[in-house]
Formats: sequence, structure tokens, C-alpha cells
Amino acid sequence: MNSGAKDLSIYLVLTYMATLTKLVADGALFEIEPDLDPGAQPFRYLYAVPGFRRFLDEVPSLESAWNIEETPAEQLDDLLAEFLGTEPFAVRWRFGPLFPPRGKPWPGVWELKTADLRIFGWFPRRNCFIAVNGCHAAKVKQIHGLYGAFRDEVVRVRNALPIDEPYVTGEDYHDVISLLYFP
Amino acid sequence: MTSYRFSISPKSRTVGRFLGRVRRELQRAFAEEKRARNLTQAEIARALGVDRAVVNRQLMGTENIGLRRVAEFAWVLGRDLHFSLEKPSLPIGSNADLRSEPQKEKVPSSSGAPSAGTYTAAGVT
Repeated sequence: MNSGAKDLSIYLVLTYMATLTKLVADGALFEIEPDLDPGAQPFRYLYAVPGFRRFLDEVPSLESAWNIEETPAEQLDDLLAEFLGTEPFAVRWRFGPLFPPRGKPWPGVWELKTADLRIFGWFPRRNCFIAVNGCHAAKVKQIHGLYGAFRDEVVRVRNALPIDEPYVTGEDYHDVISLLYFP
Repeated sequence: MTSYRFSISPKSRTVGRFLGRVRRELQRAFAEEKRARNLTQAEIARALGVDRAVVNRQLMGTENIGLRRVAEFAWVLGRDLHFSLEKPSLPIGSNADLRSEPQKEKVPSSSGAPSAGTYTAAGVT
């Protein structure tokens, strides 16, 4: 890369990241801070739109539809520690794409998953997720069309945010998570 | 509000993270064996004498998994089990931030050294 192109790429990165930071400063996003075990190191970023706070507040009152030992709140705590730290992320079991209706373009919408929870959002860059909404997995599976509604909401919210380069357009798992494994 | 930290009780946190860690260890060992010798969930199920759906649910985390089953998984996956209870060796708050400054994240390294974004670990793609 010649120095001019390098300067330009640095400029673009600086401009782009400043936008994310500015969105937090403006209150359009907030950052979910890592609450890691001693010795663990933050590795990925997680942001959310203000409306996501409603889901976070609701989680402690949710119960597991699978009747498993981990409550949804414990599942979320573990998911956040796993995502924000250096843990390799399990493809499909921990995260996956929300495919568009047949014939429609790839919307770049992804979900983070636990046994009982689904979190919908997008990756503005690799290892950086912006959450828009969340839901009990049982409810999403029960109500026909809810997945599509969440997917469309993510696109709507994303389009309303003034980000120069709004989302990772690649469909490959490696495009959005750098440390992963396929169970 | 510029940041938020999801907090649960210390007891819940300890329980949830331990159960999550055990399950992830099993998932990763299964992923390694699947890659190395094409081990399938059906073969694990046959070896353990249970239905394949049980193996799938227990690996995915939608069914409880007891200590006996953990040991059985270890056996079928060809792994040694180690369990110990240790006093914390690091104080709370000992978390070095591995994330590069956002502004520097995508700037190519002149030395060719891998950035945080290309970190890989053995056995993981």
C-alpha cells in the first residue's frame, strides 16, 4: 500500500470509529462493559441501542423454558463474559445469521444465543456487536414471523444511525468473529 | 447512560459461569474430535447408550448435564478429567484490556505482528 492510500485508510478508520464513539457520547448507543473473572481480558466490544435496556431489565424475571439449571440471567451473564472476553465462540450454538426472505439481499443481521435467549443486532466491524433487541427463545420460536420482525427492526434501527460504514457485509462467520469454532 | 454492566448475585455468577465453562470444554473437545476423526453425535450417543437428541441437547445446553455424564463425555471424547478447587490467585479487577484502541484496530502493522483482530488459538479456526 502506498503512503497516500495508507493515510487515507487511517483517516477513514479514524473517522468511522469516531462515529461509533460519538454515538455513545450522544446517547444513541451505550456500551455493555465486561464483567470478567479476575485475569480474563476484554477482547470484543458490545454496544446496544437505548431500547435494549428494556430487555436487560426483563431478563432477571425470565424462567428457562427448558427447565435447566442455568437461569436466563445466568445464561446472559455467561454469554457476556464469553463474548467480551477471549473465549472462542461456537458457530451456530452461540451466534448465527438471520437470513433474509427468499430473493431478498443479505441484511447483515446476526443473533447471539443462549439456551433461552436470543439477542438481535449487527456487527459494524469484526468483534464488535451492536444489540438492538432481545427475546426469550421460546417466544421467538412460538410466534410465527417474530424472527423476521426482529431482523427488520435491526435493519430499520441501523439505517437510522449515522454510521458511514454501517455493517459487515460478509456472510461468513469469520467476517464477524475472529476466534471461533465449529461444534 | 454511556455504559452498562449486567450484574447478578455472586452465587448465580459462580454457578452460571462454571456450568458454562464445563459445557464449552465439552463442546470444544467434541469439535476437535469431529475434525480429527469425524466423530459424530450419533456415535457418542451409541457409546453412551442414549438417544442422539440427548447428546445434542446436553452439548447445546438445553438439557442439564450431571457429573456422571460429564465423565462419560470425557471418556468417549478421549479426554482426561481434572477437577480442583483453588483459592483465587488474582484479585478482582486484574483484567488487562487486550482490545486495541478502536482507532488503531484496523491499521496494518508494519512489523507484520498479528493484531488482536487476528488472534488465533491452537485447535481453533
